[in-house]
Amino acid sequence: MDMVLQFLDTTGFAQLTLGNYMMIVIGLIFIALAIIKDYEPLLLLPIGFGAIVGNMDTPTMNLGVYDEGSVLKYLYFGVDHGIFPPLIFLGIGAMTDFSTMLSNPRLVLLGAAAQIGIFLTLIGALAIGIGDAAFTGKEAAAIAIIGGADGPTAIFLSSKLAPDLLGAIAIAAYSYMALVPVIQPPVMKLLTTKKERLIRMKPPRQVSQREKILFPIVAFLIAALIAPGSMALLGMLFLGNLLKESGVTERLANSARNAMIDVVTILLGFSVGASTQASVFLTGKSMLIFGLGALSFAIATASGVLFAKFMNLFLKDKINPLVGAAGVSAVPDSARVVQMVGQQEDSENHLLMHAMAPNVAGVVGSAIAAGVLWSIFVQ
Amino acid sequence: MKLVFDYNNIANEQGVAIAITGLIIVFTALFLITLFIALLPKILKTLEPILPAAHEPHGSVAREHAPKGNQELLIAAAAAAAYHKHQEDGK
Repeated sequence: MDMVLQFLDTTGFAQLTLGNYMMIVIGLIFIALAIIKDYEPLLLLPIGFGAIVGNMDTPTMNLGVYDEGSVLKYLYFGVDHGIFPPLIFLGIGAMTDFSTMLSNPRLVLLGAAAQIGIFLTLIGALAIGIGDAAFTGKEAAAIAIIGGADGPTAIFLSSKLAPDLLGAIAIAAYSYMALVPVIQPPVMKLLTTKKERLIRMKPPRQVSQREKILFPIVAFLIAALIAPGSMALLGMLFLGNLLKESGVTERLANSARNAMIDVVTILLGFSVGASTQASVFLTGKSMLIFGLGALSFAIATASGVLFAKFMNLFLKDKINPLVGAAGVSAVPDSARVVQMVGQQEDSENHLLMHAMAPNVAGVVGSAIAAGVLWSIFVQ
Repeated sequence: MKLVFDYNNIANEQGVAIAITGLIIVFTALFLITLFIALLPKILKTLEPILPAAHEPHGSVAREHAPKGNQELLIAAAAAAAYHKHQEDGK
């Protein structure tokens, strides 16, 4: 009988805390959102399941991502050492077609404008604290990058600057990426008039293969020379793209955009989810990170839209300001949202192709912003 | 848990200076990329004698790198068709 009681003491029923149960419910919500609502299922599903697994860890077993020697710790190694994000970028590069960006270069600036959200949130995060615990510069920078709406970049930077906050930042970043169709439309509609939303843009021009081949090489050189901190992410992004566009490494491009990115996504999602153990995740700071992340995302969307309106003051061929909202990266969801909001006004107006330009420029912009913040705070 | 606002922390961590510097760097990098993209067609036109469009890797190289097995299959199929036609002509 004693043995049975002793065994019962080691079960999850006896050892899990209320916080663990709460995190398990959050994990289930993520899974439900992925399956029922189709919100970023490739990420929310592994993260949700990872959250359930991570919160089943009992103090006596030491099997969690933070426990020395555990299997989950080895899987988490790719996250907390920033290995997975550049690999994801390699796959993204091998999937991305930069044609729309190459055909309309002025839209690249919208990808820069949307990064305003990152830097304004940095200031906000420095000003706000919980109790006596204000965020340090490094922590504020890691939180601010959520506004880039780029999960791998957020994980990469927080693994370098604020590893303690990595779980909360990653979950916030991916949650907001999944909630792009919910967060962005109200901001976009609030800042534009019906007349602006009806603007039709010229169709993109045909881009030659030589342009597509030269672009990743020169763009990497420009970005890495200006912000060397972005080298790892952008190096892999542009390598992936060169594999795709060169036409001579189709096998490698195929592996990068299919098998490799899928494997890394599973490992990254699962181990990030498993890192959300209640004891480290359910803190006041995490809640504040979620609040600041939402703010960052909304500011980034607004910045892109407002900058497009600003550019229109000087342009003969006007830009539909809705396209500016796609500067927050979150490829391709924010571009899809632009298309959806545009078609609510005019079902014949197809903005998706145009929105892809600031969308991919936003990926480059947020990686550069991460590189800048890393360079500054790593010193 | 109480939210506190400490504006001195922004000054202590040089938040405003970092934000402005960061934005300038991001805009500069993407502006230069924009400039490069805008000039790319002209650059390629200048490079035309060295890198003619006709010699782009796509097409020619892609064909060169087509799996050898496929080429052998095509040759075999062509030979079979020619033999079949020859047999029919002979009848």
